[in-house]
Amino acid sequence: MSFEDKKQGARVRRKKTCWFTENNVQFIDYKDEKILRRFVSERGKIIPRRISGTSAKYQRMLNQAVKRARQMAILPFVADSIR
Amino acid sequence: MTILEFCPKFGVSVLTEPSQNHGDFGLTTKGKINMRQYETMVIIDAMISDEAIDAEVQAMASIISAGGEILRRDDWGKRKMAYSINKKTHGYYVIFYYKAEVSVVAALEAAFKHNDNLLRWMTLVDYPMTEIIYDKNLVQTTEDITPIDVDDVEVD
Repeated sequence: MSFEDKKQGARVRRKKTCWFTENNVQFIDYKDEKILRRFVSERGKIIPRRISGTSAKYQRMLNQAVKRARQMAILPFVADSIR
Repeated sequence: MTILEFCPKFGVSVLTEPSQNHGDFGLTTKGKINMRQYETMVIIDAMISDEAIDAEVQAMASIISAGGEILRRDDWGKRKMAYSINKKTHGYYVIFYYKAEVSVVAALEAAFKHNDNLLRWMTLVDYPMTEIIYDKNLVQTTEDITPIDVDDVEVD
């Protein structure tokens, strides 16, 4: 695939924004399963910043919250996949 | 990739402002010295009878109130856990928010260690008190799991 081909099919990339910044969130609580579930993949992995667009500050907070939630069995460490 | 479709309308007010003392690490506690705010979440085995669960919660509350004051208590009730702990699939979640001295926490954890009915606990210091709306629909309603509990009690 040449450069021209790539250029022709150029995707319009949507600007990623941090959900927490947009909503002016003060603090991410580990008990808030509803929020945490949004930032965890189906397999139970934390979605990386490069994909979710979360700012560094909130990603750190989220990271800790998810890990605490896992400890208390609110979120799974590994989600069981249905075969 | 539907999970990443962020909707600005979604649950804006779910997280509220943290409590005032977040971040001061107990250095500016007024009144008694060494009194800090704690948050303890406990998972009690949901397979034991309701009276036994109630007794456990009351025992914890009495230990805390002996040397501190309970600010708030949240009962999430019976809930399916994300994974099984000690081969138990359901747990009864209680969260205590309290102001106490370190000795109270030590007494509490010492009592926890010898209690087989407790599956897990976690104590956090100076953790902001947030108004968490616990959504039962996310996991399983209490009504759905009650029959399971009854069966298990009979087997035991």
